[in-house]
Amino acid sequence: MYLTLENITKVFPARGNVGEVAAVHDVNLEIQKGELVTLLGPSGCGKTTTLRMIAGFEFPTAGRISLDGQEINSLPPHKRGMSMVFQSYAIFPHLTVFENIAYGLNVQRLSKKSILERVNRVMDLVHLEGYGDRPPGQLSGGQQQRVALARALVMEPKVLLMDEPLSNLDAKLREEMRTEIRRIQKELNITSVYVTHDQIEAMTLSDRIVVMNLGVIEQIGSPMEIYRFPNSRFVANFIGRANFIDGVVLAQDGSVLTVRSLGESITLSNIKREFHEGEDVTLIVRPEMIQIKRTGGLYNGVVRRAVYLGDEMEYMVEIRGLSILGSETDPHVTELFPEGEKVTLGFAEDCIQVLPAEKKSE
Amino acid sequence: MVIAWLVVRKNFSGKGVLDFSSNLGGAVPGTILGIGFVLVFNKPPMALAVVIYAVLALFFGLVVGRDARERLVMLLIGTAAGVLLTRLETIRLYYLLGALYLFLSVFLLFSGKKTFGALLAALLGVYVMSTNWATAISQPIADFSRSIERGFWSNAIFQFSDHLKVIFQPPPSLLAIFLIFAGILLIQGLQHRAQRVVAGIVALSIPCAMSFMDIPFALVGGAYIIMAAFIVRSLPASVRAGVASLQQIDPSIEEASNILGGDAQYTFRKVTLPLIFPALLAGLIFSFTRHMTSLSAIIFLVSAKWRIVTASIISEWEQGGVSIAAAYSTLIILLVMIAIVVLNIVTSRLLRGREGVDLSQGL
Repeated sequence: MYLTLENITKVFPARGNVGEVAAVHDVNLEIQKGELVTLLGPSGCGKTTTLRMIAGFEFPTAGRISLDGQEINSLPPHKRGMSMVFQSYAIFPHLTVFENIAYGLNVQRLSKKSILERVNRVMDLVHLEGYGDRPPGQLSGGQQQRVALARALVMEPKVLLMDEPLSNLDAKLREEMRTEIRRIQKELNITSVYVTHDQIEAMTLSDRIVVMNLGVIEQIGSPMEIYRFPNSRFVANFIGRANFIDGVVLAQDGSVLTVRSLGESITLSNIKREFHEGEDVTLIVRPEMIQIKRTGGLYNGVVRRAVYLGDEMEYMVEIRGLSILGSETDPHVTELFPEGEKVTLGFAEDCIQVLPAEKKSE
Repeated sequence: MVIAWLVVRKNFSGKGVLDFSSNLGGAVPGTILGIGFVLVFNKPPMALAVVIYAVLALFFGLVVGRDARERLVMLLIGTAAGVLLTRLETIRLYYLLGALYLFLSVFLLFSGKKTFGALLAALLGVYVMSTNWATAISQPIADFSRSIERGFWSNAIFQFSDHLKVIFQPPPSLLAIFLIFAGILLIQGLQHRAQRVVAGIVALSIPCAMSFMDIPFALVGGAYIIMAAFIVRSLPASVRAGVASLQQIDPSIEEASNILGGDAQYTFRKVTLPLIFPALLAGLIFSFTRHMTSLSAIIFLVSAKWRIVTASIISEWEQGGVSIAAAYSTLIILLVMIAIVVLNIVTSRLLRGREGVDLSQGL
């Protein structure tokens, strides 16, 4: 493994210096060379603190960070061979675009020829040709973001760290830039750690996602694994939309599980966990896993809300007092069920994740 | 600006004390400050020099030494060497201290340190030695001023010879304070223990010797006590202006410099200082104009040799020399206006093409 975090904990004094707050608690993470891993979670979950500990701006209270087999806990940021793209870009306002990008190379006292060559190469990479003499104040948000990225890339870092670099951009630009970032990262094969609270960014960019909450890692996996097989209510709720339906296990035969929920028995397949008979469980049903039909479905319900969103039709259906969110994405379906209409619901029984019942978390 | 920079440091544990104490100069009325300075520095007790040296030496040891043993060795041997050096005759002592800095310069050059450190040490060595030469240079100038017809030019030339001595013959105890910080700058970052200890002993012994030479901190009647009064009076406004300017800089800008390879000093020189330079100049203009017209802070500190124009204005007025007082006043106004114009030209040239530099870029 290239970058390793072992039992990393970071504790800050609480307000008024009474007690302590664990911003990060016992985090373990291994990142392979060339991989892009995203730390994803809500504000205050510890993702930025973790990134800053990797960078060296914060020192872990406990644990060990290793890069290519060497412990780097005590190394200051300027000796770790890493680069960072900040949320605010942190472009030096008194330097031109060229001077900004060349800053790190000037610190290393490289020759002018070498600096010119490397900076121009990186500016071509991020499509900033011809902008070298501009002051940062004359650049758009997207261009500033490219300058920050170029400044980090020109250092040919061992690890590229990105702290919510797209959060200040509008939606369309964000979409363009995340594609660019992914393209560049793949082209240069740079090991990268990305921090965001935006699940779409995480799903688009990452080889693996690390979902964090309240300072701990909830789940690590590929985007598909995180989405299709969330291992907790929090992950299921944070990534995409989900319905949480209570049930009781009737029987399990290998990966086939029979559950009673909403008054009916349903048989689910591709179940990886083991349950025992009578155990309370929660079914995690994504809206796109629900088929809404006039007749023929397993569950009977009433449409309480129907919205046409262009690429999908969104329904809120009430079944036995529980509101279920469903979506219809089949372009051949053109009829919208009106509110109050009685409908039946069916689930894609091989796509549903089942978890032991737990207390609802915020 | 150095004090303001330390005050805004996240990890500097003394920033609260430093911030508070820098504001004290504004709390004390100027006349009281002047009286206070006279009382403290008229016949300063040796204990004052001991306390100031002890605090600075401990600071030196803490920053330069890597562990308790190193610090103890540097402090004990450096201090002992410094105290022994004070037994020498003053003239020889300055030559010896200068020679020690030249030795330190060569030592730094061959120990792999950057040439900047070696050059700085060499310059310090020459400067310390120049204390002996200052009299030899200024005396002929003073003699020449007496040989020409008494008037404006003879006075001006005589004053110039005095000012040469101010530049090259600072009070040794004050110079020692500066040399402690210079020593830290020269030595921190030396990687090998033996090099660090040897250089530390030399760099500490020199300010130690200077701290206890002649009568330490005997400043009354000199030019430096006037400068010290102005500095203390300037501290609150200057530090506040500096802190306000520094706090506007996005902390991630300094972190960006750090992760790109720049250590704290490089970041300060290449990033922080250029960004706060306008505020620096504004503070300079404010301090200059204020102190050109200041009277209360230095009224008790002026002497026959070191007269300040504002004190002279009062003196002339009281003696009926209204026209001379008016001439002095006009001169002050002209000088201040020229200074403001020059500083504004310098500021606008430096900021050319960077009008409206946004310190919160990207926030």
